[in-house]
Amino acid sequence: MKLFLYLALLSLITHGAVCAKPVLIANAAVSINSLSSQQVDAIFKGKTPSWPGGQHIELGLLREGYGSTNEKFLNDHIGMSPDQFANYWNRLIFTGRASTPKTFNQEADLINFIASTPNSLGYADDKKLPPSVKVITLQ
Amino acid sequence: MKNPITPLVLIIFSCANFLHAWEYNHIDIHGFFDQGYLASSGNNYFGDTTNGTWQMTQAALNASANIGNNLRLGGQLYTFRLGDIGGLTTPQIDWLYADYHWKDTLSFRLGKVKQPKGLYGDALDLEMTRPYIFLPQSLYAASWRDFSGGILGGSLYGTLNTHSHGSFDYNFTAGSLDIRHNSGLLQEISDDSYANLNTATENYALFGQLTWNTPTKGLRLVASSAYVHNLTLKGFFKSQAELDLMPPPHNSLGAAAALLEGAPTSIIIPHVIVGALSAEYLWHDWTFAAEYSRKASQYHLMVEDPDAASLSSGFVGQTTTKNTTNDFYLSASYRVNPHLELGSYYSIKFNDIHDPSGSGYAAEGKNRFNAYQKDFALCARYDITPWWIVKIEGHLVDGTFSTWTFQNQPWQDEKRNWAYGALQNVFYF
Repeated sequence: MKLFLYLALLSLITHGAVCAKPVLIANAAVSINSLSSQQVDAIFKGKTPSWPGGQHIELGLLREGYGSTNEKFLNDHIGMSPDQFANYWNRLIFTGRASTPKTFNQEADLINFIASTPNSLGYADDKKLPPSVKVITLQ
Repeated sequence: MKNPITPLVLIIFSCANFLHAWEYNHIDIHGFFDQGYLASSGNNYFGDTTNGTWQMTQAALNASANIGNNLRLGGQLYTFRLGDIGGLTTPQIDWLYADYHWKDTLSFRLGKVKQPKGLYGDALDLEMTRPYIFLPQSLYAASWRDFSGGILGGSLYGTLNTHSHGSFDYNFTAGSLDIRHNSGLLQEISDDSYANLNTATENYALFGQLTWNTPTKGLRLVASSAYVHNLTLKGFFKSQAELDLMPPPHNSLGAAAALLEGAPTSIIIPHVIVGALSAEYLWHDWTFAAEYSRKASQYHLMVEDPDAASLSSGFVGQTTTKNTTNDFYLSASYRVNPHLELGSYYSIKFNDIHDPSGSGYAAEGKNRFNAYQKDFALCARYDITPWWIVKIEGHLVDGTFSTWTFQNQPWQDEKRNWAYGALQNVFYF
């Protein structure tokens, strides 16, 4: 019985981790409410550096991480693993094609950056969001 | 490690981190420093590699900044040494341009811009972006870096989105190549010609690339083309002693060689046409790639010496050589864990699409296996920290298309089957 309970608990914990659902977050002052999947792809690949209003997008990223919000977001929305994404961005940076996004080790630091930086965009687990950031829905 | 600046670089780079620039007044500053060791058995490759060489160094420093919402300025200083190619004391501007992002569908770059070619043509030097030390040499020959590097000119580029068929990235670039006196291109062409070449002059070049980012996530298909017009390489006719060390027909010029020694000589390449088709598929922690390319060119050898016109040996003031290369590779890499990535590729290059076995070479008296190079590579990349990578790579090679005669004397003793391996230490921030 103990073993069953232990396995059930483990299953719940694991399920919870797997079900971490990354969402797009933006600074509360950003006027955009939704983006298409193609727009998200283009923004996070440095092809679209500006919001439709013309303001430069201040991109916030998490560092490489496996089994994390970072991995799930990149796999689901960009089609890359964290390492492939890092390689991609290093290529942009060392050929001068994009400015360096802000990167963070901790999700909380990324959320603070989004909350305090005008025109910023990033991603975070939907369960950890404070009211000071705005969730951007996917069309 | 013999290189004395490595410990200093280690300290400097330990202050930086992945995707973290040193930022000064909103100017992003990045750099890298790579030191390698290259060794081979059978034949020398790029340098004195049968004895092993540390002459495998490259470094770069770049700065860039956004000016307002649409304009971006930046540049990168770069230096490298690979065996007998390049020189660490002669850094060059790798790229330096103004980038005006008008809208996603149409933007402009002006200055010295990177050349769009295949999947990785703009990232030849960027060790931190791949597991391999050497990109497949069939398409990305390290000796032709100057030919494949920056373009003095400008680009039009953009992305066209479709609702259900993915998106298309395009890039049209025009300008001129920037070929240096110590470049591998001049050495490689000199190695197979009557002249020692030391300058590259007037030319213009056009490049086009269309990338289809397919609706299948991770799959992109790329078509690239390049056209280089009137590339003129200048130097002086070789001495009899130098020609005697070369394979036929260069070693059989006879009395004409003495007449022409030291004469100003040009190799004019009126047209170089390159076409490439590429596919890359990112699937979970796997990266698969395949590329096919052809390069068609025609060389005119011009000897600017009155004696040349009087020769009756069939070698007169001008000779013409045509050829079309045939290049292909397949590669796969797998990220085992956050630190370790393994990769492999098989790369094939034929000097002449119509003579893949080298029978024409054999008929001329050359080594038949000089007409091709088939290279099987295995590599491992280990990310020690987010700013420090070490790599190891081994190659088994059949054929000597990319080796140089002057580094492998006597040329009759070149080995058809040979191997080379490399270690690479990469710091970047």
